[in-house]
Amino acid sequence: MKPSTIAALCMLLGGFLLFSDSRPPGPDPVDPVDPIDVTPIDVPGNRVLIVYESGEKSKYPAEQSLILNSGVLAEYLDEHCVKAADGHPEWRIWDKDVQLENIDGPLVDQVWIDAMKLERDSLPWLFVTNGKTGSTGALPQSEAETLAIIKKYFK
Amino acid sequence: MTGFIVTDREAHEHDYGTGLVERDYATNPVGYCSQPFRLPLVPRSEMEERWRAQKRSRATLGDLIKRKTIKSLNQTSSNYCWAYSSTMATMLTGIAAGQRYEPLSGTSIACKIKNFRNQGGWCSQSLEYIAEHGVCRIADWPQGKEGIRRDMDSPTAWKKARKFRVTEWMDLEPRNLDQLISCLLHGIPVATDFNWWRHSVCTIQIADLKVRQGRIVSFDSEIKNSWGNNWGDGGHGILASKKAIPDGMIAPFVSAGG
Repeated sequence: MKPSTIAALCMLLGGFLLFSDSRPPGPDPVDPVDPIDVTPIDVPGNRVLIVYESGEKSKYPAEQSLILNSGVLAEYLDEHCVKAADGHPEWRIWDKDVQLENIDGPLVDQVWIDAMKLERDSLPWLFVTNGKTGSTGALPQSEAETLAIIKKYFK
Repeated sequence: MTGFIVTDREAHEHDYGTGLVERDYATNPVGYCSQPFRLPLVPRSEMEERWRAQKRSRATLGDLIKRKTIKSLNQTSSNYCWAYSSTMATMLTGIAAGQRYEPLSGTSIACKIKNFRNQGGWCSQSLEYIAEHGVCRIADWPQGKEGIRRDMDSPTAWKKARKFRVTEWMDLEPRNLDQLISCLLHGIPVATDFNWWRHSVCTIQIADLKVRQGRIVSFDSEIKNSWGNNWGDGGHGILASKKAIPDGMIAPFVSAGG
Protein backbone atom coordinates (compact mmCIF):
# COMPACT_ATOMS: atom_id res chain seq x y z
CA MET A 1 0.00 0.00 0.00
CA LYS A 2 1.29 3.44 -0.90
CA PRO A 3 2.15 5.83 1.94
CA SER A 4 -0.35 8.33 0.60
CA THR A 5 -3.11 5.69 0.75
CA ILE A 6 -2.20 4.80 4.36
CA ALA A 7 -2.27 8.49 5.30
CA ALA A 8 -5.68 8.91 3.69
CA LEU A 9 -7.05 5.88 5.59
CA CYS A 10 -5.64 7.25 8.86
CA MET A 11 -7.35 10.59 8.26
CA LEU A 12 -10.65 8.89 7.52
CA LEU A 13 -10.42 6.75 10.68
CA GLY A 14 -9.43 9.77 12.80
CA GLY A 15 -12.33 11.75 11.46
CA PHE A 16 -14.72 8.91 12.24
CA LEU A 17 -13.46 8.62 15.81
CA LEU A 18 -13.57 12.40 16.28
CA PHE A 19 -17.14 12.89 15.19
CA SER A 20 -18.76 9.64 16.30
CA ASP A 21 -20.00 9.10 19.89
CA SER A 22 -21.32 5.75 20.99
CA ARG A 23 -22.85 7.21 24.22
CA PRO A 24 -26.58 7.91 24.25
CA PRO A 25 -27.59 11.57 24.11
CA GLY A 26 -28.32 13.42 27.35
CA PRO A 27 -26.41 14.32 30.52
CA ASP A 28 -23.58 12.22 31.86
CA PRO A 29 -24.85 9.37 34.06
CA VAL A 30 -24.60 9.90 37.82
CA ASP A 31 -24.15 7.41 40.57
CA PRO A 32 -27.72 6.59 41.65
CA VAL A 33 -26.62 5.64 45.16
CA ASP A 34 -24.89 8.93 45.80
CA PRO A 35 -26.64 11.56 43.70
CA ILE A 36 -25.14 14.64 45.34
CA ASP A 37 -22.59 15.50 47.95
CA VAL A 38 -24.02 18.83 49.06
CA THR A 39 -26.28 19.03 52.06
CA PRO A 40 -29.95 19.27 51.14
CA ILE A 41 -30.72 20.78 54.58
CA ASP A 42 -28.37 23.61 55.50
CA VAL A 43 -28.72 23.42 59.29
CA PRO A 44 -26.07 21.97 61.63
CA GLY A 45 -26.52 18.40 62.79
CA ASN A 46 -27.47 14.96 61.54
CA ARG A 47 -30.97 14.81 60.13
CA VAL A 48 -32.95 12.42 57.97
CA LEU A 49 -36.20 12.95 56.14
CA ILE A 50 -38.01 10.22 54.26
CA VAL A 51 -41.03 11.32 52.25
CA TYR A 52 -43.51 8.77 50.99
CA GLU A 53 -47.06 8.49 49.76
CA SER A 54 -49.07 6.64 52.37
CA GLY A 55 -51.76 5.75 49.88
CA GLU A 56 -49.11 4.06 47.75
CA LYS A 57 -47.20 2.52 50.64
CA SER A 58 -48.60 -0.93 50.17
CA LYS A 59 -47.63 -0.81 46.49
CA TYR A 60 -43.97 -0.34 47.38
CA PRO A 61 -41.89 -3.51 47.33
CA ALA A 62 -42.41 -5.26 50.66
CA GLU A 63 -38.82 -4.83 51.78
CA GLN A 64 -38.84 -1.14 50.93
CA SER A 65 -42.16 -0.61 52.70
CA LEU A 66 -40.66 -2.15 55.80
CA ILE A 67 -38.03 0.63 55.95
CA LEU A 68 -40.76 3.12 56.81
CA ASN A 69 -41.52 1.31 60.08
CA SER A 70 -38.16 -0.27 60.73
CA GLY A 71 -37.19 -0.34 64.39
CA VAL A 72 -33.61 -1.06 63.39
CA LEU A 73 -33.50 2.20 61.41
CA ALA A 74 -35.43 4.15 64.06
CA GLU A 75 -33.11 3.09 66.83
CA TYR A 76 -30.11 4.15 64.77
CA LEU A 77 -31.67 7.53 64.00
CA ASP A 78 -32.75 8.10 67.60
CA GLU A 79 -29.16 7.60 68.65
CA HIS A 80 -27.35 9.51 65.91
CA CYS A 81 -29.61 12.41 64.90
CA VAL A 82 -29.26 15.81 66.51
CA LYS A 83 -31.84 16.48 69.21
CA ALA A 84 -34.38 19.30 69.18
CA ALA A 85 -34.66 21.65 72.17
CA ASP A 86 -37.18 19.27 73.74
CA GLY A 87 -34.84 16.29 73.28
CA HIS A 88 -36.73 14.83 70.33
CA PRO A 89 -34.43 13.29 67.71
CA GLU A 90 -34.48 15.18 64.43
CA TRP A 91 -35.66 12.68 61.88
CA ARG A 92 -38.99 12.40 60.15
CA ILE A 93 -40.77 9.89 57.97
CA TRP A 94 -43.70 11.74 56.50
CA ASP A 95 -46.41 11.37 53.97
CA LYS A 96 -45.94 13.88 51.14
CA ASP A 97 -49.30 15.48 51.92
CA VAL A 98 -48.81 15.93 55.64
CA GLN A 99 -50.38 19.27 56.51
CA LEU A 100 -47.83 21.41 58.27
CA GLU A 101 -49.44 24.83 58.07
CA ASN A 102 -51.63 24.39 61.14
CA ILE A 103 -48.87 23.14 63.34
CA ASP A 104 -46.58 25.28 65.44
CA GLY A 105 -43.91 24.67 68.05
CA PRO A 106 -40.99 22.27 68.08
CA LEU A 107 -42.85 19.33 66.53
CA VAL A 108 -42.80 20.95 63.13
CA ASP A 109 -40.22 23.71 63.17
CA GLN A 110 -39.03 25.65 60.16
CA VAL A 111 -36.31 23.19 59.21
CA TRP A 112 -38.92 20.52 58.42
CA ILE A 113 -41.26 22.95 56.67
CA ASP A 114 -38.37 23.91 54.39
CA ALA A 115 -37.24 20.32 53.97
CA MET A 116 -40.68 19.24 52.79
CA LYS A 117 -40.39 21.78 49.97
CA LEU A 118 -37.13 20.31 48.65
CA GLU A 119 -37.22 18.92 45.16
CA ARG A 120 -38.01 15.24 44.78
CA ASP A 121 -38.11 13.28 41.55
CA SER A 122 -40.14 10.37 42.85
CA LEU A 123 -41.47 8.74 46.02
CA PRO A 124 -40.40 7.40 48.42
CA TRP A 125 -37.47 9.81 48.71
CA LEU A 126 -34.57 10.02 51.15
CA PHE A 127 -32.79 13.16 52.38
CA VAL A 128 -29.72 12.77 54.55
CA THR A 129 -27.61 15.56 56.00
CA ASN A 130 -24.90 16.05 58.55
CA GLY A 131 -25.20 19.82 58.17
CA LYS A 132 -22.28 20.08 55.74
CA THR A 133 -22.74 17.32 53.23
CA GLY A 134 -25.54 14.97 52.45
CA SER A 135 -27.52 13.00 49.99
CA THR A 136 -30.83 13.28 48.21
CA GLY A 137 -32.18 10.41 46.21
CA ALA A 138 -34.76 7.70 45.83
CA LEU A 139 -35.21 5.58 48.93
CA PRO A 140 -33.23 2.37 48.43
CA GLN A 141 -34.98 -0.95 48.23
CA SER A 142 -33.80 -2.31 51.56
CA GLU A 143 -33.14 -1.37 55.15
CA ALA A 144 -29.45 -2.31 54.79
CA GLU A 145 -28.90 -0.06 51.77
CA THR A 146 -30.68 2.82 53.48
CA LEU A 147 -28.55 2.49 56.59
CA ALA A 148 -25.40 2.34 54.47
CA ILE A 149 -26.17 5.74 52.88
CA ILE A 150 -27.05 7.33 56.23
CA LYS A 151 -23.95 5.98 57.94
CA LYS A 152 -21.77 7.41 55.17
CA TYR A 153 -22.77 10.92 56.24
CA PHE A 154 -23.27 10.35 59.96
CA LYS A 155 -19.61 9.67 60.73
CA MET B 1 -44.95 -9.50 72.76
CA THR B 2 -47.32 -10.08 75.62
CA GLY B 3 -48.47 -13.53 76.72
CA PHE B 4 -51.64 -12.24 78.37
CA ILE B 5 -54.65 -13.89 76.74
CA VAL B 6 -57.93 -12.04 77.13
CA THR B 7 -60.48 -14.57 78.35
CA ASP B 8 -64.17 -13.88 78.99
CA ARG B 9 -63.31 -13.47 82.65
CA GLU B 10 -60.51 -10.98 81.95
CA ALA B 11 -62.79 -9.12 79.57
CA HIS B 12 -65.82 -8.79 81.79
CA GLU B 13 -64.81 -8.98 85.46
CA HIS B 14 -63.29 -5.60 86.21
CA ASP B 15 -64.15 -2.10 87.38
CA TYR B 16 -63.24 -0.32 84.14
CA GLY B 17 -65.70 1.16 81.71
CA THR B 18 -66.33 -0.12 78.21
CA GLY B 19 -69.00 1.75 76.24
CA LEU B 20 -69.19 0.34 72.73
CA VAL B 21 -72.44 1.00 70.95
CA GLU B 22 -72.77 -1.32 67.95
CA ARG B 23 -72.50 0.64 64.76
CA ASP B 24 -75.53 0.25 62.54
CA TYR B 25 -74.02 -0.29 59.09
CA ALA B 26 -77.41 0.19 57.42
CA THR B 27 -77.50 3.84 58.47
CA ASN B 28 -73.72 4.30 58.75
CA PRO B 29 -72.30 2.24 55.88
CA VAL B 30 -68.58 1.73 55.29
CA GLY B 31 -67.12 4.99 54.09
CA TYR B 32 -69.88 7.22 55.51
CA CYS B 33 -67.35 9.30 57.38
CA SER B 34 -64.17 8.72 55.39
CA GLN B 35 -62.71 6.80 52.52
CA PRO B 36 -63.12 3.04 52.61
CA PHE B 37 -60.09 0.76 52.73
CA ARG B 38 -57.94 1.73 49.76
CA LEU B 39 -54.64 -0.08 50.10
CA PRO B 40 -53.95 -3.09 47.90
CA LEU B 41 -54.46 -6.16 50.05
CA VAL B 42 -51.39 -8.15 51.02
CA PRO B 43 -51.86 -11.48 49.23
CA ARG B 44 -52.55 -14.30 51.65
CA SER B 45 -49.66 -16.25 50.14
CA GLU B 46 -47.28 -13.52 51.37
CA MET B 47 -48.80 -12.76 54.76
CA GLU B 48 -46.78 -15.12 56.93
CA GLU B 49 -43.42 -14.20 55.36
CA ARG B 50 -44.22 -10.49 55.56
CA TRP B 51 -45.07 -10.92 59.24
CA ARG B 52 -41.76 -12.70 59.90
CA ALA B 53 -39.84 -9.96 58.06
CA GLN B 54 -41.67 -7.31 60.07
CA LYS B 55 -40.58 -9.00 63.29
CA ARG B 56 -36.98 -9.32 62.09
CA SER B 57 -36.78 -5.57 61.38
CA ARG B 58 -38.55 -4.78 64.66
CA ALA B 59 -41.04 -2.88 62.55
CA THR B 60 -44.26 -3.75 64.40
CA LEU B 61 -46.17 -1.17 66.39
CA GLY B 62 -45.44 -3.29 69.46
CA ASP B 63 -41.74 -2.63 68.85
CA LEU B 64 -42.43 1.09 68.53
CA ILE B 65 -44.42 1.12 71.77
CA LYS B 66 -41.60 -0.65 73.57
CA ARG B 67 -38.93 1.62 72.09
CA LYS B 68 -40.77 4.80 73.05
CA THR B 69 -42.19 3.45 76.34
CA ILE B 70 -45.70 4.45 75.31
CA LYS B 71 -48.08 3.94 78.22
CA SER B 72 -51.62 2.74 77.82
CA LEU B 73 -54.30 5.39 78.23
CA ASN B 74 -56.91 5.03 80.95
CA GLN B 75 -60.60 5.71 80.40
CA THR B 76 -61.22 4.60 84.05
CA SER B 77 -64.94 3.92 84.56
CA SER B 78 -66.12 6.17 81.73
CA ASN B 79 -68.01 4.80 78.72
CA TYR B 80 -65.48 6.32 76.32
CA CYS B 81 -63.59 3.26 75.02
CA TRP B 82 -64.67 4.20 71.48
CA ALA B 83 -62.83 7.51 71.80
CA TYR B 84 -59.75 6.01 73.43
CA SER B 85 -59.20 3.37 70.73
CA SER B 86 -59.04 6.09 68.06
CA THR B 87 -56.97 8.36 70.27
CA MET B 88 -54.33 5.65 70.75
CA ALA B 89 -54.34 4.93 67.01
CA THR B 90 -53.83 8.65 66.34
CA MET B 91 -50.98 8.82 68.83
CA LEU B 92 -49.26 5.81 67.28
CA THR B 93 -49.66 7.17 63.76
CA GLY B 94 -47.87 10.37 64.75
CA ILE B 95 -45.15 8.65 66.72
CA ALA B 96 -44.51 6.19 63.90
CA ALA B 97 -43.79 9.23 61.71
CA GLY B 98 -41.01 10.28 64.07
CA GLN B 99 -42.96 12.82 66.06
CA ARG B 100 -42.92 13.40 69.79
CA TYR B 101 -44.79 11.14 72.20
CA GLU B 102 -47.51 13.18 73.84
CA PRO B 103 -50.24 11.39 75.85
CA LEU B 104 -53.67 12.42 74.61
CA SER B 105 -57.06 12.50 76.28
CA GLY B 106 -59.82 10.49 74.64
CA THR B 107 -62.16 12.09 77.15
CA SER B 108 -61.68 15.47 75.47
CA ILE B 109 -63.21 14.35 72.18
CA ALA B 110 -65.88 12.13 73.72
CA CYS B 111 -67.07 15.05 75.86
CA LYS B 112 -67.44 17.25 72.82
CA ILE B 113 -69.20 14.60 70.73
CA LYS B 114 -71.61 13.58 73.52
CA ASN B 115 -72.05 17.05 75.02
CA PHE B 116 -70.32 16.00 78.26
CA ARG B 117 -72.61 13.02 78.81
CA ASN B 118 -70.94 9.75 79.76
CA GLN B 119 -72.25 7.81 76.77
CA GLY B 120 -71.03 5.07 74.48
CA GLY B 121 -70.29 5.17 70.77
CA TRP B 122 -68.15 3.50 68.09
CA CYS B 123 -64.63 4.20 66.96
CA SER B 124 -65.29 5.90 63.63
CA GLN B 125 -67.36 8.59 65.39
CA SER B 126 -64.34 9.64 67.39
CA LEU B 127 -61.84 9.52 64.54
CA GLU B 128 -64.06 11.70 62.42
CA TYR B 129 -63.90 14.31 65.19
CA ILE B 130 -60.12 13.90 65.58
CA ALA B 131 -59.65 14.55 61.87
CA GLU B 132 -61.40 17.88 62.14
CA HIS B 133 -60.34 19.15 65.55
CA GLY B 134 -57.53 16.98 66.92
CA VAL B 135 -57.29 15.58 70.44
CA CYS B 136 -56.35 17.54 73.56
CA ARG B 137 -53.26 16.61 75.50
CA ILE B 138 -53.73 14.97 78.88
CA ALA B 139 -51.71 17.91 80.17
CA ASP B 140 -54.61 20.16 79.07
CA TRP B 141 -57.60 17.86 79.65
CA PRO B 142 -57.48 14.95 82.16
CA GLN B 143 -58.20 11.47 80.88
CA GLY B 144 -60.84 9.12 82.28
CA LYS B 145 -64.04 9.99 84.06
CA GLU B 146 -62.45 12.82 86.00
CA GLY B 147 -62.01 14.69 82.71
CA ILE B 148 -65.76 14.97 82.12
CA ARG B 149 -65.73 18.66 83.02
CA ARG B 150 -66.92 21.63 81.03
CA ASP B 151 -64.26 23.89 82.52
CA MET B 152 -61.61 21.91 80.60
CA ASP B 153 -63.11 23.03 77.30
CA SER B 154 -60.95 26.03 76.41
CA PRO B 155 -59.81 27.56 73.10
CA THR B 156 -56.22 27.21 74.30
CA ALA B 157 -56.56 23.45 74.79
CA TRP B 158 -58.15 23.02 71.36
CA LYS B 159 -55.56 25.19 69.68
CA LYS B 160 -52.90 22.82 70.97
CA ALA B 161 -55.09 19.85 70.00
CA ARG B 162 -54.78 20.78 66.34
CA LYS B 163 -51.25 19.40 66.39
CA PHE B 164 -52.75 16.00 67.04
CA ARG B 165 -55.01 15.51 64.09
CA VAL B 166 -55.39 12.75 61.57
CA THR B 167 -55.38 13.85 57.97
CA GLU B 168 -55.99 10.52 56.22
CA TRP B 169 -57.77 7.45 57.45
CA MET B 170 -59.73 4.48 56.18
CA ASP B 171 -63.02 2.92 57.19
CA LEU B 172 -62.53 -0.85 57.01
CA GLU B 173 -65.22 -3.41 56.33
CA PRO B 174 -66.51 -5.13 59.47
CA ARG B 175 -64.92 -8.55 60.19
CA ASN B 176 -62.60 -8.26 57.19
CA LEU B 177 -59.37 -9.94 58.31
CA ASP B 178 -57.55 -9.36 55.01
CA GLN B 179 -57.94 -5.61 55.45
CA LEU B 180 -56.96 -5.73 59.12
CA ILE B 181 -53.89 -7.87 58.49
CA SER B 182 -52.82 -5.70 55.55
CA CYS B 183 -52.94 -2.61 57.78
CA LEU B 184 -50.97 -4.30 60.55
CA LEU B 185 -48.33 -5.54 58.10
CA HIS B 186 -47.87 -1.93 56.99
CA GLY B 187 -47.53 -0.72 60.57
CA ILE B 188 -50.91 1.00 60.56
CA PRO B 189 -52.75 0.93 63.92
CA VAL B 190 -56.40 0.01 63.77
CA ALA B 191 -59.08 1.19 66.19
CA THR B 192 -61.27 -1.89 66.56
CA ASP B 193 -64.78 -2.41 67.94
CA PHE B 194 -65.64 -5.82 69.41
CA ASN B 195 -69.32 -6.48 69.93
CA TRP B 196 -68.67 -9.63 72.04
CA TRP B 197 -66.75 -7.43 74.51
CA ARG B 198 -68.89 -4.29 74.09
CA HIS B 199 -65.53 -2.59 73.93
CA SER B 200 -63.27 -0.75 71.51
CA VAL B 201 -59.48 -1.02 71.66
CA CYS B 202 -56.47 -0.32 69.47
CA THR B 203 -55.14 -3.37 67.61
CA ILE B 204 -51.40 -2.99 67.20
CA GLN B 205 -49.94 -6.17 65.76
CA ILE B 206 -50.36 -9.76 64.70
CA ALA B 207 -49.76 -12.17 67.57
CA ASP B 208 -50.22 -15.36 65.56
CA LEU B 209 -50.97 -16.06 61.93
CA LYS B 210 -51.25 -19.23 59.90
CA VAL B 211 -52.35 -19.34 56.28
CA ARG B 212 -52.87 -22.72 54.64
CA GLN B 213 -53.90 -23.21 51.02
CA GLY B 214 -55.08 -19.66 50.73
CA ARG B 215 -57.14 -19.73 53.93
CA ILE B 216 -56.40 -17.86 57.14
CA VAL B 217 -56.66 -20.77 59.56
CA SER B 218 -55.32 -18.99 62.63
CA PHE B 219 -55.19 -15.34 63.61
CA ASP B 220 -54.56 -13.78 67.02
CA SER B 221 -54.00 -10.08 67.56
CA GLU B 222 -52.30 -7.98 70.21
CA ILE B 223 -54.29 -5.05 71.48
CA LYS B 224 -53.44 -1.96 73.49
CA ASN B 225 -56.32 -1.43 75.84
CA SER B 226 -57.40 1.82 77.50
CA TRP B 227 -57.50 0.55 81.06
CA GLY B 228 -54.06 1.78 82.11
CA ASN B 229 -50.80 -0.07 82.36
CA ASN B 230 -51.88 -2.25 85.30
CA TRP B 231 -54.35 -4.23 83.22
CA GLY B 232 -53.03 -7.26 81.33
CA ASP B 233 -49.38 -7.13 80.43
CA GLY B 234 -48.49 -3.46 80.68
CA GLY B 235 -51.91 -2.61 79.27
CA HIS B 236 -51.64 -5.12 76.42
CA GLY B 237 -53.47 -8.37 75.79
CA ILE B 238 -53.91 -11.04 73.14
CA LEU B 239 -57.25 -11.60 71.48
CA ALA B 240 -57.31 -15.18 70.22
CA SER B 241 -59.18 -16.68 67.32
CA LYS B 242 -62.80 -15.49 66.95
CA LYS B 243 -62.32 -12.90 69.69
CA ALA B 244 -59.78 -11.15 67.43
CA ILE B 245 -62.24 -10.46 64.60
CA PRO B 246 -63.46 -6.85 64.88
CA ASP B 247 -67.02 -5.78 64.12
CA GLY B 248 -65.91 -2.25 63.28
CA MET B 249 -62.52 -0.86 62.27
CA ILE B 250 -60.99 2.45 61.40
CA ALA B 251 -57.36 2.98 60.48
CA PRO B 252 -55.59 6.36 60.55
CA PHE B 253 -52.44 6.43 58.49
CA VAL B 254 -51.39 10.06 58.20
CA SER B 255 -51.15 12.32 61.22
CA ALA B 256 -50.55 16.05 61.22
CA GLY B 257 -48.94 16.02 64.66
CA GLY B 258 -47.97 13.49 67.22
